Amino acid sequence: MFSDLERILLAFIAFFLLVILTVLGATIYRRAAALRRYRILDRNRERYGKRFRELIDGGKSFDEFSAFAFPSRSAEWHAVEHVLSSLLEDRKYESAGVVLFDRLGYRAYNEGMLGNRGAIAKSSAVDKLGRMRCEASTGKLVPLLDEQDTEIVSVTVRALSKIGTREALEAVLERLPGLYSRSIVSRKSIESSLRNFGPAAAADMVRYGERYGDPFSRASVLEVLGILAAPEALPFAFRNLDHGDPEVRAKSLKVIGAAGGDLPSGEKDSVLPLLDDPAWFVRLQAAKALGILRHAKAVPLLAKRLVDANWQVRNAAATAVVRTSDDAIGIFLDTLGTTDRYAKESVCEEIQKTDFVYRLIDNLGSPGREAYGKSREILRIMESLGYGTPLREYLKGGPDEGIRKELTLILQEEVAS
Amino acid sequence: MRSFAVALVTGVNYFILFYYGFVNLIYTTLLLVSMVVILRHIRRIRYSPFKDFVSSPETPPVSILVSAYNEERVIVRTVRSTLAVNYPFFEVIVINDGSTDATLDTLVRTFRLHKVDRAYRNVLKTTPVRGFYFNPDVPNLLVIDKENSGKADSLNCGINVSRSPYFCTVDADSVLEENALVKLMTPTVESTVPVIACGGVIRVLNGVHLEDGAVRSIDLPRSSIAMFQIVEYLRAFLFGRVGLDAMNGILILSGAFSLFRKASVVEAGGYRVKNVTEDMELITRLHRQAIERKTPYSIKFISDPVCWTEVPENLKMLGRQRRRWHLGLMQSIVQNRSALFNPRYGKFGWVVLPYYLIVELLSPVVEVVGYVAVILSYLFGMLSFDFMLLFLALAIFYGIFLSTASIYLEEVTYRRYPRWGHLLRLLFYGVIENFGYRQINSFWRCQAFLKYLVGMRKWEYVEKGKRLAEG
Repeated sequence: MFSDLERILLAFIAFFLLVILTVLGATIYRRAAALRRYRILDRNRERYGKRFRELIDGGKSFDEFSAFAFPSRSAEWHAVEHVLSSLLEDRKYESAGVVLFDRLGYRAYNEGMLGNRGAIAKSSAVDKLGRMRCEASTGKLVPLLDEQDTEIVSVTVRALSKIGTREALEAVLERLPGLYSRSIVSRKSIESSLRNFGPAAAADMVRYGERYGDPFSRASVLEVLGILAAPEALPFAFRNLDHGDPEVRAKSLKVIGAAGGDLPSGEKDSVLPLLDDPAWFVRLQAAKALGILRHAKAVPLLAKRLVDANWQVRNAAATAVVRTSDDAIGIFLDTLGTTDRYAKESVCEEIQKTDFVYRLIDNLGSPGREAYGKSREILRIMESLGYGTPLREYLKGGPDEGIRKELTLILQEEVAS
Repeated sequence: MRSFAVALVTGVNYFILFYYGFVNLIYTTLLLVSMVVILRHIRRIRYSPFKDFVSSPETPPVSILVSAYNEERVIVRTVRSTLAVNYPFFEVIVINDGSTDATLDTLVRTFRLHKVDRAYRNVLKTTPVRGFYFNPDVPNLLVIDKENSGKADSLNCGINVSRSPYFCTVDADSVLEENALVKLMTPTVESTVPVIACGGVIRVLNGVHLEDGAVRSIDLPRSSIAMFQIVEYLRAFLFGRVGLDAMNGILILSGAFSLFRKASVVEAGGYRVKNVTEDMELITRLHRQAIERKTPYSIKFISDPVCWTEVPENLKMLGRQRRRWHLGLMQSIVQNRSALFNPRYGKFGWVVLPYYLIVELLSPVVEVVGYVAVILSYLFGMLSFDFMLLFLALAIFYGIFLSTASIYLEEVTYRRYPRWGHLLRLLFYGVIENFGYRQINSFWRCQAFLKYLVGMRKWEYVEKGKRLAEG
C-alpha cells in the first residue's frame, strides 16, 4: 500500500506527532505544577514571615525557632529561606536573620554544596553564604578564590565582600595580583566587590596597595579608595603621583579629588605638574581634581588646558576654571582669542553647560563694571561661533530691558560683520 | 524535452530532500543546545550581580540612543521608559531624524526643552544637525534635531554626541524594562574577554498594558498577526540566538535593543548608511574587525533583559518588514562574501557566515522552489499524491514541533504570559502558524531575494500596531 519511502515519512510524522503531544503535555503540566508550587510558597511565606517577625519582636530566644527547621529543599524550607532573606533587607531584623540562617541549617546546607562539582551549584551556594553574611563560612570560601573557574571566583569575591570581615578582605587583597594575572575575574567585578567592604577597609587596602609591585593591582586598589573617598588613603595617593605607570597616577588623582577637600594649599601644589602629564587621562584627572579642590594657584595652568588636544581634558579644565576662578571671564576671553576652532567651541559649550552664560548676560546690565566689556566680547564671540541660542532665548523672555537692548546690538553687530 | 524536465525535477527533489534534512538537523541541534544553555542561564540569574551593579560607581556609563522618524504617537512613552531605567549613569539621546510630524514639538513641549548649542564633532560623517534641545531639570536627556537621512545616519549622529564608553540603541516604539539595561551590561562588566556588543530579548508590546511608560501588566493582543509574531519571536530569541551565542556566532542583534562598545564601533566606521538593516551589517563588521586585528572579543546575546516593541498588525506592513530584514541579511552576506569559507576567519568564516547563508538566507527560496517542485513532480507522475501529502505533513509537523518547543522553553524559563488563557492561546497559535503564516513569510523573504537580484534595494517604511493599551 505504501512505498518504503512513504513508510519512512510516516514513521517521522508519527515520531514528531508524539514529540509534539509530549511537549504540549509537558508545557501544560509545567504551568500547573508551577502555579501549585508558587501558591504553596506564597502561603508559607506569608505565614512564616508574620510568625518570625512576631517572635523576634516578642524577644523570643532563637531556640524557639527550632520548629521551623524543615527538611532541606522542601517547600517549607524554601519559604523560610525567602523569609530570612527578606529579614536581611530590614535593618530591624537584619541581625536576627543572620543568626537564624545559621541556626536553621541553611549555612550547613550551603557549605555542604561547596563540595559539589558543578560550577552553577557551587556558585549558587557561595552566593547564598555571602548574602546570608555567614562570617563562620569565610574559611570555607577563601580556598575557592584559587579555583580556575571564572564564575566561581567572581561569585566568591562578591560573597566575601558581602560578609565583609577583615579576614575576607585580606584573602581577596592577598590574591589580587594573582587573580588579575590569571585573567580570572574582570577588574570591574573586583572593584565593585571591594567597594562593599566600606571605608573601614581603606587602611588595609592602602597597606596591600603599597606592597603590590604590579601597577594594575595598585591602580585597582586606588580606584576603590577613590570611590570610598577615604582620607587615610591620601598619603598613599600623593606618594603615587610620580609613579611610572600613568594609570596609577590617574587613580591617585581620583583619590585626591575625592578625599582631599580640606588639604592645605602646599599639598595641593603637588597636583599641578600633572596638568602637563603626557597621558591625557592623567591630565583629565588632574583637571577634575583641581576643580574639586578649588585651588586658585592652578588657574593659569588650567587656562592652558582649555586648548588641550583632548576634548575631555578641555571640558574638565573649563569646568574647573568656572568653579575655581573669580576671573573666569578673563580666562575664557583669552582662550576665545586662539585660532583653534574646536578649543573655542569647547569653551563656548562649557560656558553654556555650566550656566556661566547667564552670568555673562547679567553682566550686560552693569555697563560701568569691568566685567561688562569682557562679558560683551565673549557673548559676541559665542554668537559668531554659533553659540548664541541663550542670547536669543533672553531676547524672547528676559526680564531686563537694558540687557535685551545690549543683546540686540550684539546680534546686529554680528549680522553686520 | 519531457525527459529533461523530469531529470531536472528529480534532481531538485533530491536536493530539497537533502537540504530539508540538513536544515532541520541544524535547527534541532540549535534547539537542544539552547535548552541546555538557557536552563543553565536561568539558574545563574539567581546569583547574577546585576543588583550590585545598579548602585556601583564601577558600572560603565551608557548613552541610550533613540532614533525617531515620525514617532509623535509613541515617542514620549519611549523616552519616559528609557529615563526610568534602573542604571547608575546614563544619558538618553533622542535623534529626531527630520520627522515631518510633531515628534520634535511633542518632545520639546513635554520635557520643557530649550534649544542649546553644543559642539558637534562629526567623527562619523552625518548629515547636518539642526539643533540640540536640553532641559537642566532633566539633565540626562538630550534631543538632537537633524536632517532626514535614515536610521543608520541618525545613530551615527548619536554616537558622535555620546560621551559614554558604551551606547545602547533603542527603537522609538519600544519600552525598556526597568532592569533591562543593567542586565544587558552585566556580561560586559563581568567578562574577562572584551564584550563589544550585547543584545537582549525583544518581546511583542502589542496587547501589553503600560503606565507612565512602564509595563503594568502583560496581556496578549487580539490581532492574529501579532499573535503569530509572538510565537515567532519566542522561537527566534529563545532558541535561535541562544544556540548561536553558545559559539560566539551571533550576527543578528536587534537594533531595537542592543549595547555596543563605542570605541569598537567608531573604529569600524559606525553604521553603514546604505544598508537596510544597519544593525546586522555592523555586527558582521565588528566580528571581522576583531578577527582581522586578532583581538580577543565576544558578541553576546542574553535572554533575560527585555525590551518590548510594537509589531505590525497588518499583512502589508509585516510583508514590508520581512522583506527589509531579508534584504538586509542578503546585503550583509554579499558585502562580507570574502570571509565566507576563508580560513583566516576561522569559525566565523567556516560556520557562522555559512549558517546564515545556507540556513537563514536560502531556506525561504528553497522552500518556495520545493512547493513548486513537488507540484510539478506530481503533475509529471513522479510522485504519488500520498507521498506529496506525507511530505507536506512532515514539514508542517516539524514546524509545529519547533514552535511548541519554543513555548515550552518560555514556560520553563521566564513564563512572562501569566494566565492559563495566555498559554493556551500561545500553543494554539504555535500550531496554526504552520498553516499559511509561515508559508507567507517564506514568500515575502523569497520576494526580497528576487528584489535584491533585480536591484530593488530600498528601505520600505513600516507602520506598526496602533491599538496599544495605555493605562
